[in-house]
Amino acid sequence: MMKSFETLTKDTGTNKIGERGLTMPRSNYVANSSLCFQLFTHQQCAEIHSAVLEVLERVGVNIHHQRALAIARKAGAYVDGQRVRFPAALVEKSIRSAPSRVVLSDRNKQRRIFLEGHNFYFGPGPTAMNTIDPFTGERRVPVLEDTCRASRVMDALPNIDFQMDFGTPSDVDRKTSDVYAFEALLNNSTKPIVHWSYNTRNLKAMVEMAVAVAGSLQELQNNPLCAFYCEPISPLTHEFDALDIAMAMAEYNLPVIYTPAPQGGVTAPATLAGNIVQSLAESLSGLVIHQQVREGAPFIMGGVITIMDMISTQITYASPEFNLMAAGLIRMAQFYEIPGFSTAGCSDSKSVDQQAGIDIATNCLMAALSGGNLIHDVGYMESGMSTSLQSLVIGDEVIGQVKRLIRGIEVNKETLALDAIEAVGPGGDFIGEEHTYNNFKKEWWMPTLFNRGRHDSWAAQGKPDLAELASKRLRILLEEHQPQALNEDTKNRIRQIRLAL
Amino acid sequence: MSNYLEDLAQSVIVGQEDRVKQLTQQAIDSGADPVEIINQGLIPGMNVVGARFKVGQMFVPEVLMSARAMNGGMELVKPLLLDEELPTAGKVVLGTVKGDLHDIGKNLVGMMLESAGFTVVNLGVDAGPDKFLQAIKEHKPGIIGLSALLTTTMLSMKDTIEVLKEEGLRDKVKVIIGGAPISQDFADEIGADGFAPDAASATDLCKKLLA
Ligand code: B1M
Repeated sequence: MMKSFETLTKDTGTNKIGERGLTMPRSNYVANSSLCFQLFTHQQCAEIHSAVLEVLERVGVNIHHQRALAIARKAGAYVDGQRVRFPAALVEKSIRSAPSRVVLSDRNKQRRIFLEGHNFYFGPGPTAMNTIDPFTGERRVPVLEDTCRASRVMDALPNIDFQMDFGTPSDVDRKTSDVYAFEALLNNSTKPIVHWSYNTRNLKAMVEMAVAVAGSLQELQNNPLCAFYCEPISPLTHEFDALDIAMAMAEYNLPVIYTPAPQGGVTAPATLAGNIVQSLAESLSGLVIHQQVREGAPFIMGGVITIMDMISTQITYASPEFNLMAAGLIRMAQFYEIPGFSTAGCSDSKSVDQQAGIDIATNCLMAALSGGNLIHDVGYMESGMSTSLQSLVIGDEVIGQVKRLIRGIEVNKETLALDAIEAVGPGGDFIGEEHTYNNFKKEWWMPTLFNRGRHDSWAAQGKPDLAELASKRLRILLEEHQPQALNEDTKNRIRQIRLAL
Repeated sequence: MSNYLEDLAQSVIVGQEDRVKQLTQQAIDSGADPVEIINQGLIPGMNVVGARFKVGQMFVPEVLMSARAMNGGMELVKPLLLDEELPTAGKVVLGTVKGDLHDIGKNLVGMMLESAGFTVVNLGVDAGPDKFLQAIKEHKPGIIGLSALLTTTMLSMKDTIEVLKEEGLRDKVKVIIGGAPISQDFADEIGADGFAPDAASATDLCKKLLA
């Protein structure tokens, strides 16, 4: 079935007809079963889409890949040297042929992540060049043991749905550090993996590893345990390796995330709408090539769309503009019915302090509200320059709270509690009531980290702040959590694949 | 007369290229000393910009617009100057190292250097030792600047320095390095002449090295 994204006029999923009324029959009852937030109206989406088509037809993109150029020409794009312009029909055809959902499974083929509609899943960030040690506070270059430890923590944290490598390990062969990291993630957690690759050669080794785990390529396609991301260069340039990886993933029929990183005012317009337009033009032109390689291959539309701070020249991972553009990108992904890759749980702060807390709380809520399917970079610090396990643990707590917020308030006979109010009556109390017993756990979120206790007990614990509480929880997780081990045979096979590289 | 100089400096500060060109042309037509136009009009304006940027009162796009305005005036004055009067802070060859495609930071360094009066030769990305070598021979810069954003590619900075030694060019040119994974320690380790954490300090560093 082809999608008809242009006619997508309804809100997807947030409004539904109430199933359970009070006692009396009612007509035309509409209920919000979760929180509602929509950055753009349908008309605004259409206007942005139209601008994207105009950019692709008028300006086009540069493609540094011979085979992709030939593919584009054959598909009916206007190719002039490396500059490729696209007729609207070709772009829209590619949007329609990309699947509206991608499912990621864990290492045991359990289908865990359903990237479609407004579903959202959170996970950490990749490749950072530093990590802040949660116990010593030292900011240092990560080693492979950091990747393994981070993977175990991701395995343990209930609100972290997928794994990323959390930093490029430096104590391994640098040209294949992506492969070492992938192996570490496979070995230390069963959770689905979102990863990257320097080039197609390394990618092939990693896909081979995933095939070894899944049993066969077909089984991996059926239940993909990993997705790989790659990045075009803003403005409007597809360099060789990124596009080559996207094309290889199409050939494998495995999910790829194509995710530009435009910086407003530097490599993209300073206006937020213009930045989103350019980012979409970059990912959709990649999609055209991708769908030409294999129609219907799974594609996830990404974009770490940001601005540069015009004093420090540092990019931001937490500004209001960053949060708005992430929401805008996701709104457009929903408009196109293509799964989206978004960013949250990250901070510009240099340490796990008040700013980090405010950043994380704000962007996690914004990302969840926008329903942006695969949300990465939880635990990123200082604009993506380092990662922090303390921050990942705090992020996990924030996500728990955010999930509760998104659930909203259920309105039905049980929750309106008329019988309980009657039973208690004026002047009574609810604490011993069956209604309380039955509902408080169902309706309330219970913190595992945030301190709601009294001053006395907090003082007795040595007045810990949130970062200290996170370290404490981390210590317990690392001591107690035993991830399921990969069987020795498979473990050996994937090691052999890495050694053969 | 001094009034026009103030007006000129002010127009540089607010980044009005048209106005700067107009005032410069008027001054030239009325017989003003070209050296005075530069040293008491254009450059003092840009100095204010530099100072304001440092304390966070001006932002990068504003600095670049001011530089463009100043250069608009410079272009008109230059033909009237003797060679030795031509203001140039020095020549810098810039490039992102081999295997690395990150060029945003390096380009910003280039723009800020140009704003400060340096002549910049930009080698683009993926520039290996050979490319730098060739550029040194061709352009005879006072400084070469290497940028790397990846922990994998930063290692190749050392190769470039080694090649310069082999070719006997190491003491003919200063080498500065920068980029997110780079530190002063790393610069010392590979024997670079300097490291700068951002574009503004890269400009200060170049001034210092060529002083
Ligand atoms: C000569 O003297 C000097 C002096 C000062 C100098 C100097 C030279 N050069 C720079 N400076 C200094 O002054 C500048 C201005 O003030 C500053 O420059 P910066 O460059 O630091 O600052 C810029 C103004 C803004 N910053 C940037 O432009 C870099 C931002 C981040 C997000 C980034 C971007 C944008 C990109 N990336 Co890439 N990228 C990241 C970056 C994360 C981050 N937060 O830095 C980083 C650097 N990337 C990384 C990675 C892994 C990669 N990237 C890749 C690709 C890309 C894009 C193409 C998408 C894009 C670059 C586009 C472009 N035209 O440059 C890939 C590699 C491609 C390649 N072969 O180079 C790829 C491998 C990702 C992949 N899976 O494909 C990570 C490196 C990790 C590591 N351990 O090395 C990374 C830290 C991201 C992360 N959060 O983990 C100073 O450093």
